[in-house]
Amino acid sequence: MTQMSGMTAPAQQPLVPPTNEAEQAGQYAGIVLPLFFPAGEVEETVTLFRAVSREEAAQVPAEGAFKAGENPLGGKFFAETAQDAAKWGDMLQGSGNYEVLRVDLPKSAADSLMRWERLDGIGAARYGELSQINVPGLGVSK
Amino acid sequence: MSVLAKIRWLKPDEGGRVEPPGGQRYSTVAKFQSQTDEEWLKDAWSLVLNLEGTPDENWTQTALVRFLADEARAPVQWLQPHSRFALFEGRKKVAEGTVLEIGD
Repeated sequence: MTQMSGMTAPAQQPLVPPTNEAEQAGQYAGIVLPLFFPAGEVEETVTLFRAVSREEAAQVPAEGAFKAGENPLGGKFFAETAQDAAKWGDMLQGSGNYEVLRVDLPKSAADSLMRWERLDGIGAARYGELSQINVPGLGVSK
Repeated sequence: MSVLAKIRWLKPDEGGRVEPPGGQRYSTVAKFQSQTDEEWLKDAWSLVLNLEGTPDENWTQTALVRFLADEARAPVQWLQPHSRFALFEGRKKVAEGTVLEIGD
């Protein structure tokens, strides 16, 4: 087995003209927005997406943080577009059994996540431990 | 197609998990013997494991393994007897797997 080595830096997702609701959400993928902190500092954010169970869809926005789930992983996977998140939702939860969350992460946090250009033949994906995701400036919405 | 594999969870002193995963179902990204690091970062595939029993003193157990993606799209030829793969949680390698046998 080949030993693992260095990782590539995340790349920005090209914008695609939206034609439906999922694509309208997907157009925000990779967009860098300014995030303002009280001290006047500004940090850019990166928008990611995650298909989650109904339970997680209620819990995360309410508590403002991700928790360990049923799959005993230490972290969470994210898609870079809403459309791709829905494809993983179809495979993992079954069609109609999930919701897609929009996740805005400070760019420094998003850049620290492990990233694959294409996962499962679907599209780009990132993985982060809870400590990498649950950071000041995390924004989650449906 | 069902694939039986031997899974050895890496211990903390090997950079692995604090403990093997509880529960029966586990899914994460795999890196296969035939993939270079560069290839893996460009085109990776997830495996779903149905874990059998509990790990022994070497943190080894068997599991029925399949790709998360359907067989029509996934590189099923990478799961052949004696082929090897590693399981990753992000950058952390958490297990090594060896395919034991292929069933129907």
